[in-house]
Amino acid sequence: MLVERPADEAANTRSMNAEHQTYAMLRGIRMFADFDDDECNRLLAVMQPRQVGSGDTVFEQGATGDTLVVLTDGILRVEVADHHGVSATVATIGTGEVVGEMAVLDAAPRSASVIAATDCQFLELSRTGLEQLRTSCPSASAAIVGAVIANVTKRLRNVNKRIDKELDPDGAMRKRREKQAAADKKEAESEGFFSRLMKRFGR
Amino acid sequence: MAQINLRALESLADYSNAELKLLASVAPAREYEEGANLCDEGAPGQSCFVLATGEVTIHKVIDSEEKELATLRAGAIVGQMSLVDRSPRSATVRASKYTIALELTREVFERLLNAYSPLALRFQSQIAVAGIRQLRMATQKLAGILNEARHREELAKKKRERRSKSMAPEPIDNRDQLLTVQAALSEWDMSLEELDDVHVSIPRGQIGADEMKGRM
Repeated sequence: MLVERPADEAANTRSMNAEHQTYAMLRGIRMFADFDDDECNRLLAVMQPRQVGSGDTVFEQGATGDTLVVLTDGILRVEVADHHGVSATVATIGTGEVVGEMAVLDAAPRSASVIAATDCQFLELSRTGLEQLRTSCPSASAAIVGAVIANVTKRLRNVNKRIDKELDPDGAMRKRREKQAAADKKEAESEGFFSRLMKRFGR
Repeated sequence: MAQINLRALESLADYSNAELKLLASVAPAREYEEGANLCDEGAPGQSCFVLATGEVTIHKVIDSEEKELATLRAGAIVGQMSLVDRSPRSATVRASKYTIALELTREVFERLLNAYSPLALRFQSQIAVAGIRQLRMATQKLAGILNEARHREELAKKKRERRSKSMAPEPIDNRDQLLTVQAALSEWDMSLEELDDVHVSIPRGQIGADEMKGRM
């Protein structure tokens, strides 16, 4: 019979703590918010842990990618190069943020480069990984895809609103429409009143 | 009803035989004569359609005039967003010839998804991919249209400065383009070619930080 030595126990406790920290980190991301321990484990099993140094490129603009990245430590810089090749930083990504969620479902050329602004650690989920998850843990896969859909729907709506604004910068047209609708309603009501009046007087 | 062969549909190419069988049993095939509507703009959307045979056209009322926006053929999946979103139908779908379409309701889809049916999971991924492509296309088109408008505005300004300062600015008419993108956004899997009829220049610098993050 094996007797566990105190040193092992301490190591076990340490690794369990680390495990729980990883779970907590994952649950801090909206996409994985409702994951239980088992779902977290199965997700971790299909993701590749990676490390890059400051200045390294994670995604390259124009290169086709099919992975999403969960940044577990560090800062990433999102850069877009214009057609003259001049790059500008358009966003930064911090610990616990996800980047590339659309590519994991539909591979496409990256629309920007992602560069490590500091030494970074991240978890990478590939399209193949997500497909494996669909079999090994359908609930986790459904939650991830569901979160992507929710996000895409929200952004489609934003683009729609943006176009509305472009079409009608001051909402002038909307206001006119509303005013007309109110006037129509009033007219319809008064018409009703008038015809009731006519009826009352037997006409 | 005419025989339909789901196996031959490109959009269902990855489905196993068992999944196709399940799809056929949970999504009843409906027949539409030429001119009949599969769904009407503004009505609550509670289902999506897989076109098995035939052809449909997408119509939308723009500035109180009905416009035809796109033609979709067998294999197309129409109205997927209704399965995940509760907004009303953004356009009318009309059979332009005799059409058979499988109708999958939100209720059935949700039930299958909650049971983690492989069919529903596959369909869910397909909805996501359709949405992603729509978003990518639309943001790109929108950026292009806005860019072009800005460019033309600048040109017009220079022209005015050269001629006379009192000349009224020419209004830039990109309404139709914008409305087309807007219509394509909502839920119809319009083809790239159809959107390409909307002329644009190369997009650059019109996209915000959040949009950029999300687009990768």
